[in-house]
Amino acid sequence: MALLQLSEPGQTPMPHQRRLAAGIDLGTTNSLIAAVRNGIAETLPDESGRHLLPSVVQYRGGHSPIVGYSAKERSARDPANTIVSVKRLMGRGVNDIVKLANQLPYQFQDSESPVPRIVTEAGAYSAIEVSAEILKALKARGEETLGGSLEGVVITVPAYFDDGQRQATKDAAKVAGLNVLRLLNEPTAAAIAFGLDRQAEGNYVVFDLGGGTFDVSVLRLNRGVFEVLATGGDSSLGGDDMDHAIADWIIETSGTKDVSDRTLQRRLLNSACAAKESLTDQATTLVEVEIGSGRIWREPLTRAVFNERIEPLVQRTLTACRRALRDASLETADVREVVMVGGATRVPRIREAVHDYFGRVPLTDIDPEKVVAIGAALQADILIGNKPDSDMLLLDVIPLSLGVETMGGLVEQIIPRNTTIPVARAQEFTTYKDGQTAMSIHVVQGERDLVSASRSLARFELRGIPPMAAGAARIRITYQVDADGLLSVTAMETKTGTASSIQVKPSYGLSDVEIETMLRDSYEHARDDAGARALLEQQVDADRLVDALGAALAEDGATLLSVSERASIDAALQALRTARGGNSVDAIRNAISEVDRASAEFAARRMNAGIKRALAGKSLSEVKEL
Amino acid sequence: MVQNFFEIFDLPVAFDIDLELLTARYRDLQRAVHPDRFVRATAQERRLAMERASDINQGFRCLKDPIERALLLIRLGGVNVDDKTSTAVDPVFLMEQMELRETLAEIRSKSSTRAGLEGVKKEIERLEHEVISKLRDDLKRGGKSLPDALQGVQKLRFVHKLRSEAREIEDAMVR
Repeated sequence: MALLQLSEPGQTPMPHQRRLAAGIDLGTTNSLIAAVRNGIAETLPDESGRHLLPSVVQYRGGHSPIVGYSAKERSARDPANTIVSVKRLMGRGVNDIVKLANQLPYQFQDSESPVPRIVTEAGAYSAIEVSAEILKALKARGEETLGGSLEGVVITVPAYFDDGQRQATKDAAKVAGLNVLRLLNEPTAAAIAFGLDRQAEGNYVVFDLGGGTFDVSVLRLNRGVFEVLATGGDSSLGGDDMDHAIADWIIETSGTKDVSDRTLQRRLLNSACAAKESLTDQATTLVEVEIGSGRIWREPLTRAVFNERIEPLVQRTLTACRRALRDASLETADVREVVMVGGATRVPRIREAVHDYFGRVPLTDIDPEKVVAIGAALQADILIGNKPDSDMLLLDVIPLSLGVETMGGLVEQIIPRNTTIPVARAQEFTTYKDGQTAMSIHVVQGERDLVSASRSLARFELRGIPPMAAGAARIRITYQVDADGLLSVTAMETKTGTASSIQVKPSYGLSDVEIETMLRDSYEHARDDAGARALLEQQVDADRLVDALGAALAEDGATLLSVSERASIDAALQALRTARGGNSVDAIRNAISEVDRASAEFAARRMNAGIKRALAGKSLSEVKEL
Repeated sequence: MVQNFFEIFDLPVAFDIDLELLTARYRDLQRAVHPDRFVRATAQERRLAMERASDINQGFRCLKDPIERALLLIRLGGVNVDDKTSTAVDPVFLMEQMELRETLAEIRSKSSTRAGLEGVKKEIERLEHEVISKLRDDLKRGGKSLPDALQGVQKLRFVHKLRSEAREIEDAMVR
């Protein structure tokens, strides 16, 4: 059909051609990319056949950064310029970093920006930019292996990630030039990988202990609908903490006094990590580490001592499991299966503790390090439209409560934890002074009553309230959390219908200007014409719109539109096609808005028709039979 | 403007609800409008999908909860539920629930027997039943009975508080 012929080759595949999509597990220690090929979801290896990409980035003055194994090998020699476990810093503010600083061998830049930047010999970089380097490496691997540019990716995040951490992940993808179809919670991805969506109805627990984060999720499966009943966990608990526990043991046992040297810290952690891994199969391992000037210290470490050292961490995971079950109103007996995810679940003590607590053997048959990426690839394949018959649907929840600051530094909850997303809540405020035209709102996330104990998400300044007597204005603020768990806020004075402008000051995130700068910096040719890129972006948007609307018209145009309605949409589309052929960014933008306006009613009718179809013929007796 | 969630789910506007049917409709509706189904649609449709899915989520949350459901019916009847003046709960009920609360406190402090707790739980259940059946009648009558229904909601909140306290004590006994 004529509408589709506009698109450039490669951007809009033919109707039955598979679209290229991938799943990305952006992990603390390692990252992976996976895709569905020939009906099978598998992780994609590099040219040396290695599937994992260590989440390590080394910055070098005058050269482009190195990512992965080579960077990891250099981490002990060059700790200040080699960034490891950057995921722990995602969406974190300067204050959070201070708490972590003694565990991190980096220097942070002093600046006014709420986003901390790590100082390297090649410049100062935020966690978002470091993560973007990892994503770029995965993107290159994926596009080379799959033989084309990726149309979209699903990126996994810990279910416990707050708004700031999710936003940071999405920003990193943007900087890396990736189109994010969805941020998917890691445990949900694991459940998909295990094919639980094809299994019997029931409740499932996903126990995910990765390098730096612990997540536990309770999922319910019912007729192809995956519902996340509850999530819990700890965004700073993982295998790295076990390494630190062993490192502490080395320091104590060896009597090492001065551990301020960064390369020593890195050597200690590398030995600790190796010891942890060998204790998976062996009862005893010999720990060897160079402490001080060339002195090699050797001492056997038994699994029993290791278990004792990590017991507090084990108990923290079980406490989180207990809490998640309680939130889901379930007992351990109601759980059908427990799925193990994350490299740290290879630790025998962890498997034993989970087995004892849930009273059943946990599922471990898919490689715990690949399972999340595989699940993400399956979901990406569905979302991009390669499996139109799939009836799987994920209903996810918001992991932490959202609230606003009220008088006296207290939090008023707006959206409670574990509410299914997307979700919107509206709240009404009024002015307290005559003629007041502005107010400020502070949004926080967390479960505590005090603002000081919660995590600040953003401060909003509302301007343009029409001046009225105190208490007369009615300002309706709508908080919308989208399917990725990200918050947006709109405001309206309801008496006069004036939309107030909102100025967002994210507490930890980046402003749009900062992202724009990063995008510019990330292009290899610094002098790349900004105007040309803006035009290209508008053209891509125009093509997407023409493609998507064309498909919608082919599907429902005949039944939902009158001849004249159809004609006005076609006219707007024709104008867009003409504008797209030219080189004016504004002309294309205006033509896009014009198409949006012309097709608004059509979009609403399509949505209503879908709702009607969903409700049609579902009598009580039919439902009960299912 | 009060959004009539019963309409979204095509269910009769009434306090009694078929939870199974509600849940089935909820899933079917989400299957039709969830943003995951519109990843490649126009920006306009994606926004619309997010809004509809949000409404359906909010509606489901409201309708499956008896207190929220009752409040929605009262709002639909044109009564302001935020008006605190009409919500003074009758003294007889207050006495009853205070006694139950004291008994619970006693059981907690003496770490008393399970049998005692079972008795209180039965009593709470009876009270809940009583409150709900009165609430149902008031909502059915509507109009002038709606302020009474609002009182009923208030009572139901008390009862639920008692019930969760009893559950906490039970949890502590199990441990």
